[in-house]
Amino acid sequence: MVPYIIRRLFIAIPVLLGVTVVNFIIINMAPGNPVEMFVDPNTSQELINLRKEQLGLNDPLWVQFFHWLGNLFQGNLGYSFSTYEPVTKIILERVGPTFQLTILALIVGLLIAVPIGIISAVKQYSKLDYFATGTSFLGISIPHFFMGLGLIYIFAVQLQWLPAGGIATLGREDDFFDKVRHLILPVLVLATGIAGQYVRYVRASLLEVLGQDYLRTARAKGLKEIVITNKHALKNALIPIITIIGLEIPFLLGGAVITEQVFQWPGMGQLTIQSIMSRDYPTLMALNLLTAFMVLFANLFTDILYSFVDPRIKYK
Amino acid sequence: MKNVKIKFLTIFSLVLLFLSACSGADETSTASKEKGKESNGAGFRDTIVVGISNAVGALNPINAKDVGAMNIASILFDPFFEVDENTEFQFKLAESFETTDNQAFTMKINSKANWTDGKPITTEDVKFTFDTLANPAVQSTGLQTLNVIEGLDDKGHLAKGEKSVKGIEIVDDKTFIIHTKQPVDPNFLKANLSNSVSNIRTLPSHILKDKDPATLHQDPAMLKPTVSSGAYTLVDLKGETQVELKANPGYYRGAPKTEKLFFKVIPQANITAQLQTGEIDMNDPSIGAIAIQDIEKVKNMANVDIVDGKGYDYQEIYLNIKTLNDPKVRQAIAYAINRPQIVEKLLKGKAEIIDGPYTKLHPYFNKDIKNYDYDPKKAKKLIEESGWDKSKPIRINVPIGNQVREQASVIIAENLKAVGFNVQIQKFDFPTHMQKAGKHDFDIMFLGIPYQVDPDVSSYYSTNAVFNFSDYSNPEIDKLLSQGQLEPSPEKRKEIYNKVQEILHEDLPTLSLYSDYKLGAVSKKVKVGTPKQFGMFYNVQDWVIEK
Repeated sequence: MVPYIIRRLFIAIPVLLGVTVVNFIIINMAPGNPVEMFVDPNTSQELINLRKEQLGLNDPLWVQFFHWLGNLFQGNLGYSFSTYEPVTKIILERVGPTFQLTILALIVGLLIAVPIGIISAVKQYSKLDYFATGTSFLGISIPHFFMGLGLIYIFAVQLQWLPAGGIATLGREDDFFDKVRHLILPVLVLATGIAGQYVRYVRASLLEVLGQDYLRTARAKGLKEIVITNKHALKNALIPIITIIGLEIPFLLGGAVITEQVFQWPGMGQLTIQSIMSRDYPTLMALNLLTAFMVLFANLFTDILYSFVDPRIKYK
Repeated sequence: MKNVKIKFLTIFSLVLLFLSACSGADETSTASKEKGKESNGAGFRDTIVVGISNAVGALNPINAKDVGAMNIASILFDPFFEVDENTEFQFKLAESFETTDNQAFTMKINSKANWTDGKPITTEDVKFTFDTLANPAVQSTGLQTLNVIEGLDDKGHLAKGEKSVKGIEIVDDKTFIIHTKQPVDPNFLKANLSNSVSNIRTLPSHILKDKDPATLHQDPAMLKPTVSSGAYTLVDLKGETQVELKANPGYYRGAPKTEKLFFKVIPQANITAQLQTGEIDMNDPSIGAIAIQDIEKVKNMANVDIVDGKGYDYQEIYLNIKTLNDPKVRQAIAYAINRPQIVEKLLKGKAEIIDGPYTKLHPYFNKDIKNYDYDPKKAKKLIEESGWDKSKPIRINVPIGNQVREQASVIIAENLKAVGFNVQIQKFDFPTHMQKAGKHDFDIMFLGIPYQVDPDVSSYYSTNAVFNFSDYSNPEIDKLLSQGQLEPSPEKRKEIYNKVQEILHEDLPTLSLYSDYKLGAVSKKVKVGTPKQFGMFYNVQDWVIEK
């Protein structure tokens, strides 16, 4: 197991390197640059050039890249072009809120999806099944911004039960219940999409397992139906689900962009949009690197999880 | 079997642990939370929240880049002057300004002014600030607009070998003299020493003097200044979501009456909703105006007063001189655009139509020039006369972000089609838009132009100037504009700029479309404090809000 993990980690290095090269090229190919954006009418061309020189933007692309890479190996992700703060600090501030939001949403989504998926599979083609699959389709297809704005309108503006956005009421940042109140709507929006998806995965996967021979044997042994589904079938049905969850995690990290935007959630999504709009190269590179890292890490994590759920899988 | 379960449980609890760790890291410091509430006695709240709709960048007092950062930097670090809503100069850090020859300007720093650490603000700090601004190694907006000061080169940098700006003469602790190379209009100098125009905010030399100039902008003392001079000090800056400020009890213009001041970044569409729910107490019209389509809604809110704006900034189109080279074609475009419709229908009448670079309230606005009317017949006639090839496509570049402007661009494209032009709209994000602008890669392009107190427009119309996206070059305009810069007498300047406006009106390198009024709204609980585009925060220390 341990040698396997180490080997995987070593393979990850060239992959990450490749990803950064591609990212660097794409980011720099985007028209516009961080200096010209903020130019005010009274700045001369010489001054613009001077600023570019100071930021190293006049160097050839490969020089800029190796400069960045060199700093990276020293643990330095550089300074943001728009706030001048160290990129590491900016990102660390945003990781917490995003994880809170997305992982909670994932948990809530799964708590809804797994039982509904089970019922739906066990009672296949029943009215309940049609209702569940129909609703899940709605959950998948409703756009996050639309649902977010709708919920804000109902619960924040009309009923005034919940706040319209933000992470905490100003000045009440350490109040736990205040935080929960702020989490409800965005988590609901994200969880709806997740639940909609997973109901279908769980249902499909369980249906496949339910038709297997060993379950017929179990029934023949006279086991209760509830034990068969929940103990024997579900465990096997969850294996593909774990893969999907594993692949989902990196996207949850960056994929809550729209929800974060609607609810002014101070997370990575907001940061990503802002740094794209201001062509903040160092921040963007760091965000991309982090996402790439998360993808690789989540894949590895999923593989390791496999060996726990399915004893037949062994890594050497 | 059991073993697997235990492993599962462990992983699950690890995830939970991780989650709770995250939530812990997020709690920001709110120090004076318990105390502040009682500070004003009964009846008043300790917090005022201002809604804005653009993210706030670095609050660097000499290099703030966006309007939000400039506004807030001016609350933290007092500029010498502040421009009020009538575009007049009010003293802030300065307490007097005198000149007899328009070449030596004697200024006094407010005698009570001190830094938040108790040290007085002196001419030493002023000198340090100018030296820092003039140092090319420092990341700042620099002194290019003030290159008329003695000892600076054209770019506003220190001459080679010089360590400090010769034109800043210290008389005593609180008095200094600014010497210029030639006489200048005193208002020109005042404008460049005031909040909305420049990034000249006095720095604390005793904190910063030993720092490396090249990395000054990354220094914590600049990013999160602990020693500042204004009514409020910085507690926390999260540019995309909120900025938290706390009162400076030793403020020389009076201790602030409200303990905490928040700027909350929310999408423009939510500003109205959050005013209604009371999550924000007012907006800042310069960076978070009420959306035009929300006017009726805001008027009907029982808890909010609406504050009308004035025409300061304006939207304009640049007409590429190289591709639309016949003035008749450019005039035809001006006649073809139905601006009254845009103002009435799109902007609900909350705007004014202008042609040139000054709005009606600008002191240098030329009243004698008649606007191009909406006259499609005349436009068609001019196109015929010019022999313009109607099949030739005209690219209209529009930056995304400003919805009203995007809608206006659609109307304008329809107007131009109606008189026979073959137009196509291309929308770009702002950095791309500006890059194309700089390369003159467009035929018509939209841009918002901020209000400038001083009438100098050379950066828009001089040959090869940075914002001369039309690629306009007229020797007569070049001459007039440099005369205007150097002319100390306001009356003579007025004549020069009247002439400039006449020529621009004929040549049409740009056509202003409309100047839209930035609307403000404020909670009725706020007893002192009004949303204004200019001078809103001049009396921020007096703001109060009822519970």
